[in-house]
Amino acid sequence: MHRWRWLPVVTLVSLLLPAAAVPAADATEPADARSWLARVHTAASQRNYQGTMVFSAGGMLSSSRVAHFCVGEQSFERLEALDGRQQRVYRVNDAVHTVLPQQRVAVVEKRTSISSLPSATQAIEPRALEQYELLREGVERVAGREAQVFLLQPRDALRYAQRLWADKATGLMLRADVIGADRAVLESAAFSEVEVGIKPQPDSVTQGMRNLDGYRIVRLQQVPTQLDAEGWALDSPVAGFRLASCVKRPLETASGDAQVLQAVFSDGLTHISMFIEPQAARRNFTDLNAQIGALGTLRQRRGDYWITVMGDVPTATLKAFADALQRRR
Amino acid sequence: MNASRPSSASTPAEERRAMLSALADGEAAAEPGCTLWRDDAQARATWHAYHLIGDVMRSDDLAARPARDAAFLASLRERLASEPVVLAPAAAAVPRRQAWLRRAAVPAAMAAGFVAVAGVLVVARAPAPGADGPVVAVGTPSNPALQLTGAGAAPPQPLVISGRFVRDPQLDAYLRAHRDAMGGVPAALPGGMPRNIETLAPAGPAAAPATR
Repeated sequence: MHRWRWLPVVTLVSLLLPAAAVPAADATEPADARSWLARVHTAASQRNYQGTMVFSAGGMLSSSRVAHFCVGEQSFERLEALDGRQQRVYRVNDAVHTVLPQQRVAVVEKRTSISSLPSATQAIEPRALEQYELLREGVERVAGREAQVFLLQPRDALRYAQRLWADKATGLMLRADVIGADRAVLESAAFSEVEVGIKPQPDSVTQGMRNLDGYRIVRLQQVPTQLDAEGWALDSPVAGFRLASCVKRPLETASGDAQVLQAVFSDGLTHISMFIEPQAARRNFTDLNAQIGALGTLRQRRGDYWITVMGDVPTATLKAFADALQRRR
Repeated sequence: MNASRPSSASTPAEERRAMLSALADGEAAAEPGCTLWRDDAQARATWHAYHLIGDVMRSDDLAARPARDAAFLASLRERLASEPVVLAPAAAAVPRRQAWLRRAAVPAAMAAGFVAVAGVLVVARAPAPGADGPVVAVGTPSNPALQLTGAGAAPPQPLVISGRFVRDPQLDAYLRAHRDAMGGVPAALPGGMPRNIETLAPAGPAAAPATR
């Protein structure tokens, strides 16, 4: 009979500490949103994994073999397109080589995100939580692994929602969907199979980068600059987006190389590119408003310049950017 | 009211009223009362009076001036006349939004199918492209109809992949620059996966000879 005296205390304690009732396997999982996002990012950058990723948008599919190794502080990555034109991407930290065997062309570039924000190179920043709310949904099985499902619900209508499936054991992102209005899935990138914790093979990446005999090498140089130095300014900045980088870079198109000004804005999860170029170089452009999967493109003439705004955001946001851009001199 | 049997002494008017009242009470067959009602205006007035009497007996609310009914009918006729004519009847049970989608999907699908067929025919007949690359049509999200944009000095050659959207080789370079903008991002992160947009559409004979 005396045992029953403790029952209300025990009940109260177990109600106040729900974590105590969770099985031990989940004890290593972070409790709050910020830690979860950090865990997903860490797993992608610091774990050794390889698998096949399938990307689908608008009913079309394309798959790639993906391998990522982390040795010390260095990050090695190898991507090979399995569908369509042959293309292999080798990355060691910031240096990226894109090899096209059929055309015997290799594009070499250093993709440094020139920005005063040190965290600008992260794909998911903690800052994303200012624009999105992280909602924990159920547990699902993806690529043979148990995954915790999260919904990043935007706090305004300027961006799309994204659903993430994060591996329960390691935090690796197994699937990501971009969800538009009416909860329609605009595009989806998912592992169909993945092995995590494999033996790192950085040589497979570095050899692929060096083995370029008989290839035409194209070097893309990005020159950092400032928007106002180029004579442009964003009058009313679009809510949630901050300038991440501004470079002058060549853009190979059918009519030859041309220098464009590319300004990139990020809200912590997704980013928007604004390309500005003089109209003299592009005589046969026209106004454009297109959507491929989640990617929207808006092109407008602004005086003597063509403005092209691209990003995984609704058209209204692209338009807000294009309207906010003003010529200063 | 009790049905009154017409006697040889009743007038034709009384006979008609008796017929109508029997019909109103449900004690007579439809004919010849209905024919009488249809043909004779006086009979219609009598019919209306009988029903009004019955209504007022049952409820005080129904004892309204006849002008109110007439006004209602007139305004209803006006509203019906001003509504747009619906040429295709929508299913009564379908909610309004779904009905709109269904109505819009059929013509859009037909247009898409038509354009896809037209595109295939044109691509089959197109001559070998020059180094300038093909012209492509781009669909706007709101308008399934396609517009053509020029890409070079070569004569325009449409590159229709599906009726929905078309890959623009010009946009490919921008797309790559946009996608690669966020520095060394691993593939296993949102937005990190290389979107091989160029592989989403089959590379036809008119594919642009991009340097990457």
